[in-house]
Amino acid sequence: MAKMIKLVSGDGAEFEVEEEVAFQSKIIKDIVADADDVIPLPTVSSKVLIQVIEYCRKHAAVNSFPLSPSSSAAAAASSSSSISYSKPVSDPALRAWDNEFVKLNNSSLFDIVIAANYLDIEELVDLVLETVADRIKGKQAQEIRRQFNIENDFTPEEEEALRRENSWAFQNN
Amino acid sequence: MASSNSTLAMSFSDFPEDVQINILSFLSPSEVSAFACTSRRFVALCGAAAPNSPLWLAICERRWGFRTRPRSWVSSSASFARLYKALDRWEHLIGFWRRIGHGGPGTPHLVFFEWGPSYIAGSRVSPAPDAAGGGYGVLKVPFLWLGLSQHGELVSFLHPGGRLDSSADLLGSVSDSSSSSSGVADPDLVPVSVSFMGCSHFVVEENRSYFADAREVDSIGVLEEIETSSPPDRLMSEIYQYFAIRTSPGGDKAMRRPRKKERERSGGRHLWEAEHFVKINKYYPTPERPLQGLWKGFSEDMILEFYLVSYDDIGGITCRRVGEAGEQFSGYSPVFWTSNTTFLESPFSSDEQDLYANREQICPVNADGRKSSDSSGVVSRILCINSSYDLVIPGLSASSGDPRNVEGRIWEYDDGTFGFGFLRNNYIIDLKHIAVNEFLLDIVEDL
Repeated sequence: MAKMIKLVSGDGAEFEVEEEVAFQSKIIKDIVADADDVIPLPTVSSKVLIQVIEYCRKHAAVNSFPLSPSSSAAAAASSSSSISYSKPVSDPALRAWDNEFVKLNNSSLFDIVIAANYLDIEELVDLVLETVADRIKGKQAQEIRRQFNIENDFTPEEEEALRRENSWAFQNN
Repeated sequence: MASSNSTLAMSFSDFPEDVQINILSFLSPSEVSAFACTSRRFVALCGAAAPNSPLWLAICERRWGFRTRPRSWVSSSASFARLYKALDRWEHLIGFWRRIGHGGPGTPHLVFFEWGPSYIAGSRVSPAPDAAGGGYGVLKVPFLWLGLSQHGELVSFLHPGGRLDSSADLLGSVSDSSSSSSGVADPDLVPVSVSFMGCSHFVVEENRSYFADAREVDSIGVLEEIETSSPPDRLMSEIYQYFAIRTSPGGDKAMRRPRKKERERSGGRHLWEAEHFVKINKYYPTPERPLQGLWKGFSEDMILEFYLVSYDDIGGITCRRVGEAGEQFSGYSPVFWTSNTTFLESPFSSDEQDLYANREQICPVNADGRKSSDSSGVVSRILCINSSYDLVIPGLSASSGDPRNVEGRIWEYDDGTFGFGFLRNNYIIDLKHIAVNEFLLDIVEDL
């Protein structure tokens, strides 16, 4: 009999999930260890929670454990502790599923970034962060601002000077 | 689809900084510079000149964190963007290279570069003497180290002798390093510069301006810490760690380089000749090129030798020895070659079976005098080869000889290795891999 964990979203909806699915979130795993099995997640909406649970359910079956020894050494050595370099998903079918999963607009994608980061679901974090990075690649600053809602706080002269300076510095790459 | 209502939609700027850094760490430098132009916040975050930039460290970690420890390459005030440039440039060194041109007699031709925790090390690879390591052992002697100085400059050092004479020298050098402002901690280490000429060729030359800079600054006497006068401590301690466990009582006096003062007195003569290296790009077979790569085997003289098998653009295969010792103009004579790479498949004709059956495999001999023959396995395919470029015209008595003199076979075994031999004798030379997955096999300690 699989043990069930109850997750409560920000708007009060309740979701029952198997323990091994929920435990992909390190945060949930820690909370369950101390407290009972009902976990309020006030910062996560139902819509996002449903998607996250879907991901965790899919990956629970083929869960490869997070940090390989060499990448944990790399993570320990790096100054930014949130960087983890878990092995890329090796199963092509699962990778294809992941690629479908992240076919979302930027707004929805960003919501999952926040939720996955908060819940500390390592593989999901890696997946969505790389997806966001892919959407930055190849774009000029103006397009990036538009897509990602970044406010342009430069004067036109500053912006022009910056563009010249940066492109010169990285010309050979 | 981008969100249409920008006042409610989430912005990239709303992410916590560590998430932003994580995302940006996937980008290349030119993509980072494009992103930097989006707002003031990101100019600061993405700035390449900033010391200790968490973003540039993350970029280095993501790209090289599995192979080396980027953080330990630099001191605390260094620019990680500079580290990125250095690692990006020197990454091409990893793997096997072949020394070309002249060199000290007896200096091995094969060189292998690998990652260290805070440096890249190049080692000379040669067959181990006296059938060490079960006969197929190789010696790996580090001779070149590349790292970063305190101030983020690329530095590289070479140890010509490959070993120190005694541990007393070692300790003496270490204690000198802090007080000496005029030279390298270990006088046997030669500062060199490594210059790429394209991706597949580099030159290592003595860097004579290394000492010149030190002297100049000395005379002005302004700087207490002289940037180029001594190698970075970290790099030195790694080098010493290697040498500390290898002491040679008698010492190889002939290889000992003159001390630094002698070098100064020599008045500008080069005491160490430049070396050129060419990359061995494909040192391991692929399914389409099953014979390609770097191999080792015992020649008919019972000496372990290295062979390089390459496929050319017109469908041919050539095998040459790596390092024809002492033969600068060896006339390009291959060990074997063929222009027809179609294998004969099993079942084999009885002629072919006879050809193989009566042969003797050349094996190393054990200490007790018996041959250590490890069976190489079943022959899965056969290829016809030739041993000379000389044209042999059948029936012409004046030609260089009987076709049987040059004709031979490759017998590919089911484990992926192969052996070869010629019709003119009864031997099989079995070849084994020199390295797998960037790891050298059968390394023997250099004692």
